Order: sequence, then C-alpha cells, then structure tokens
Amino acid sequence: MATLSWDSPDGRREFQLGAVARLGRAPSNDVCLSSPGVSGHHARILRRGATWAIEDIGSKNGTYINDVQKAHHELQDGDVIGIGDVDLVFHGDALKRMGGRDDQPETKTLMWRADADDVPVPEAAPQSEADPSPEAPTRHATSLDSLFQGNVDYSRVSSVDSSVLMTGMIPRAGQDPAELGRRLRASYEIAQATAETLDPSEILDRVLGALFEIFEAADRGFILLVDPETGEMSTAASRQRTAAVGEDAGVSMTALEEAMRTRQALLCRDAAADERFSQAQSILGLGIRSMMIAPLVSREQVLGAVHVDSIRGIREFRQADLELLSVAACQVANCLANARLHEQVVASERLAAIGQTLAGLTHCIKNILQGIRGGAFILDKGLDKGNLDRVRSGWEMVRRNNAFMEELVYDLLTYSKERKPELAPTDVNAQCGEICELARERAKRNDVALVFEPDPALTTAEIDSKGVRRCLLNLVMNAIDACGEDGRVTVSTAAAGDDDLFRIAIRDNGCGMSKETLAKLFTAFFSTKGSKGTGLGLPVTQKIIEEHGGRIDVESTEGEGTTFTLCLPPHRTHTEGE
Amino acid sequence: MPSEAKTVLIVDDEPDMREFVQVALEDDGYRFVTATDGAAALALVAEEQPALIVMDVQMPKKDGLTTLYDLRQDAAAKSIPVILLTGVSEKTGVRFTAESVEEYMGERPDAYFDKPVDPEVLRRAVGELIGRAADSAAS
Repeated sequence: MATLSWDSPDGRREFQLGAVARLGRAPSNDVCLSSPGVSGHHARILRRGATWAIEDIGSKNGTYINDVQKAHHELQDGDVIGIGDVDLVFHGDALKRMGGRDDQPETKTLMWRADADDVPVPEAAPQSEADPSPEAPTRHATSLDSLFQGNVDYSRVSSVDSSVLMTGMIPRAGQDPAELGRRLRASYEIAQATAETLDPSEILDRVLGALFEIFEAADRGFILLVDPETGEMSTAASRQRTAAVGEDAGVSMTALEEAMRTRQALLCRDAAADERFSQAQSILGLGIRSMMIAPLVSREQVLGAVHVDSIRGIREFRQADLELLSVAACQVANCLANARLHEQVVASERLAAIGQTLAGLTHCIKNILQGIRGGAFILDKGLDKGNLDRVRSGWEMVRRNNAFMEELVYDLLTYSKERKPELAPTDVNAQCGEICELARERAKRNDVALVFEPDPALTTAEIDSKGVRRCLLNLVMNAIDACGEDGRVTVSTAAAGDDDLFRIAIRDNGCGMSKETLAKLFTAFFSTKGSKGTGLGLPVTQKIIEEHGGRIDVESTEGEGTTFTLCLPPHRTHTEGE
Repeated sequence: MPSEAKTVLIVDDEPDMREFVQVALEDDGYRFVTATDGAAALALVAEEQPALIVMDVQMPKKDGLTTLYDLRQDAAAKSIPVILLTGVSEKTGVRFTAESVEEYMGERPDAYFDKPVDPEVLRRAVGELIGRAADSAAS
C-alpha cells in the first residue's frame, strides 16, 4: 500500500491509495482539501501496476511536485505534492518492491482515514515480508491493472526483445500449424514492408494488411502518428475487414494515450467489463468489443500507436497476439524513425544544393551587373567628353553583358528542367562555321588563332540546332579562354564512322586541366575562369548532348591543351516513348 | 600636381574590368600599368614601382588573395596599398570584407570592394590611399 499524508487544520491526516484517488475541494473527491488555491477537481493519483502517478486535471493553480509544477509525474517515495496551500507527502509502498504482483486483493475504494494518526501504515510491510514474490517481474507479465475494476482481463507487454519475438512465433499447445504458417508469412510481409520502402504511408498500409492476415479477429486496424511538430495525433493508416464494419467508429483516445504514455502495449479482451474507459470515453459506445494497442516507440521516442480491434465478439485477442503486435510495432517504429531521418537528410541536402546554386548565381549576376554598370559609366564618360571611341567601348560592354545575362537565363532554364530536343535537319558544317565567325572577335581580343576544319563528307543531321549552337559556343569560348600565348583553337567535324556517330571536335593548345578539374568538369557552378565563368556552360552542354542521345569525350593534358569531342547520332534517335 | 605621375597597377583577367578601372581613375592624372593575373603583376611591381594596386580576386594562374600575400612578404612591395575587387561570395555564403580576407590570408588589403563597384567610391579610395602613403613616406 502507498499512502499520502499531510497536515490539516484538524491535525495530521493520512490516506491509503488504491486504484485512483481524486484530489480537490469538491466533496465528491476522495481526498477533499478545503484550503485556498485548491480547485474543485484538482488532480488525481492513478496506480499503474507497481507505481503511482499524479496528474493535474486542469487545476487553476497547478500541481507542484517538490516545488516544481508538473502536469504529470510518476511519484517516488517521499515526493511532496503541493496543491494550493497543502503539502501532501507520498509514501511508496511494498508492492513496488515486490515487483508489482497483482494477484493481491485490490483496494478498490480509497479509505478516508481522519484518524490515521493512531494507525501507522497498515499491512503493507508485513505483507511484503510474508509474501515475497516467487517470481521476478517478467517482461510481459500479465498484470491485472488495478485501474480496471471488476473482472477485466487486461494484459500488457512492455519492452520488446527477441524472446518476445519468439513467443509470437513458436507453436504453443493447441496452436494450429496452419495458423503458425500464416503468422510467419505475415511477419515476413511486415519485415519486407519495412525493409523495402521508405515511404511511410506505403509501409503503414502494408503492415496493416499483414496484421489483418495475422489476426483473424481484427475487424479494424489503425495506425496513429504523433505529429513531431504539433504533437497532435492523427490517423496515418486505417483498414476495415469489410466495408460495413464500423467505418464511422473512432478509436478510444483514453486507451491510446495510456499505451503511449506508459509505452506498454495493452490488450483488452472484454471491453464491456472495462469500467476504466467508460469514465472518459466509452469503448462500447465506439462499438469496440475487444482491442489491442501497441505504442510505436523508437529511440526513446513515442511516434504513435497501432490499434487493432474487434467488434464481433469478446475474447478475440490473446496474450500471444499482443506480443506479436508489439514486435510488429517495434519494427514499424524503427522503420518510421529511419524514414524520418532519411527525409531530414534529403531536405538538408536539398537546402545545401539550393544554397550552392544561389551562391553561384549571385556571383554570375554580380559580375554581369559590374559589366553593365561599368559599361554605362564608360559610355557616360565618353558622352561627357565627346569621345566617340569611349562611347562605343562602353556600349559594347553593356551589350556584351546583356548577352551574358541572356545566356545565363538560357543555361539556367536548360539546366533546370527536363526537355526534349527540337530535332530538325541541320547543316552541321554551316552551323560550326557560323559559331567560328561569332567567336572570332573574342579570339582576336585574346590574340588566339581560330581555325575551322570541316569534313565535306558530313552533311545534314537531325539536331536541335539552338541547343547544339549553345554547346558549340560554350566549348569554343572555353577553348579561347584556356589559351595563353600563341593560342590556337581548332574546330573540326567528321562524318559518322562505324559507330554511327558524327563528331565535332574543339581543340585548344591552352593550359590543359588537372585531374581534379577534370573530375569536377560537369559540376554546376564549378568554374576555373574566375569572374568570367558561370559554371553552367559545361553542365548545360552535357545535358543538351545527352538529350540528343550523344556523348562528350574529353582529352586533356596539363600544359598541352584540351580536346572536347561531341559525338552525336545523325538521325533521330528512338528513345523511350517514341 | 606632383612632378611625376603616380603609377596605378590594375590587375584583372577581364579586359572590361581593366578598362572600367582605368576610366574611373583617368581624370586624376595617374599613369596606368595593367596585368592579367597575379604572377604577371608580381613581375611588374619591382620594375614599375606602382603607388597603388587595384586587383581582382578571382584570376587564373595566381589569384588576388595569394598575390596580396606574396606582395606583403616582399620588403620592397609590402607598403604598396592594395585594393581588392571581387564578386566572390560563395566561399562563405556571406560578403567578404577586408577583415575576413585578413582572417583567411593573414594579410589585410587596404580596401575591399564588392562588385558591382561604384566608380566614384573607387576613385576616392584610390586618392586617399595614395595620399596617405605619400604622407607616411614623407614623414
């Protein structure tokens, strides 16, 4: 027995705690406290197996445990409970030391003992001496919870380990081998579901399906999850045996919360006899006759609960069923926790990628802005001084940077979305020649010789000429930028050979690339060109060529130069969906 | 006007940027020398003895930060004021400052401008730094 003691104006008082004790000012309370600051219905003390817990039931001034306000607290021997002006001392009991044996006669009603002073704590100590528990408390002890009054068959399963796993699998006396086979298959399905996918809703659906396989008595199954942010519970998956079965019926929140708070699975074989739930929410009212609830606990966190019930008859679920459900719940909880971790990782990677993209873009845009602003400044100066050369120079700068901006936007659009190349017959040699003409100004400014060597055997090919033009411009400009003194860039074409791919090669005699640079060549926003590079040219080029069903070959030697070769199919490639 | 024009060394791989800096400073009577990377700039310093260096950060061969560090290790060049210009922001995700360059490189530029650069701000900074350097040399 556990007791509460406190000082009242009439002297010292003591209370023996039973299943539940209500504390408050109202006369209906088991412990009536008429001091200031005590609410009508202030708190209650519940016994759970071998322990007691106090809950504030919405009091105005709160419930304090050892001077700390608590909504809920598992009481320890010597705890001081502060309610209004009254300090009550909790005295732990012998039952706890005995391992919570529940075959003791229950104290169903609390004894109000105003004369407790003359009667020291009764029976408890001698009992514990006289009747030491013959067994250690078991992992899945069948304990008649004192909260259930009357003839309720009520079981719990707490922590799940491999021995519990086995009890669900091993045939017992009277267990049908066919049923065992079904259970094994369903367990396998649960294991598969949790291993094969990271999609929580798919996992939960498959698990509920498997649970229905295992438990023939199950008419409805629910998996409820706690929202990690709001703490609110909602149904994440549900299943009914038949459409007609209690679709509208809810679940008993009281029982669910109990399972989640205690982190213990619970089995209620006969809800009709379950007075505990009738106090808060009638399970019978929900149409439930028998039910099992297992909390989803992973890494110390309660993620939710699995609820399986039967509305057809009583005593449908057994202890072994509860054990099996606990194993499944444990597996599901770990899997859900992993799925959430995975989501977090993906989200943070996405954020990092967005950050990198924005930083790269900012850099490009700042350089373009510098060009436009610088050009405008030079232009203004030229106008002020009537210097036409300067006006022209500034205006060219503005135009060039405007073109850079257009290219950047084109590259971003190309790079960021799936697109199909718009294939049309194109004279490849003519297009290459045109690009060389466009690049000639840049080549001249950088003092680089630009040579075009077309293969007359190469005729028209079906390509997206706008896309390929972008690729060629990127590669030719890169080649010019890579050149140092005596720079030379050669653009050459070759008709399709044995592999049925025609080629456009851009060769420079520039600085070449290191292995490190080669490895990062097609990474977005990687650039060795300082302020001139967007870091998008090569990734975009690669994407366009791959959309054509072609490839890019790169050969580079440091100090000697680099050759990029575009290898493209001359005819429309038959890709998927065509 | 001083009898001899002060030399400003402009170091940038981008011709547009070199032209921009030159035009921004052209009315102040400086003589201009240009280089396209840090290595070329270091080679020019002894010969040209610039009064000030305006330098880009991101350049091929030798970047502006390394060049700044090398200049400051050179007894003959360590007192030349250096202005860094850059669009760099991706390394830290925040704006670089003269302080952050010092933290990163152990050497601090005399001024640090984020692109796009205001030509008037650049012009004023160049004037002040050259004036200050001349004063401290005279005293």
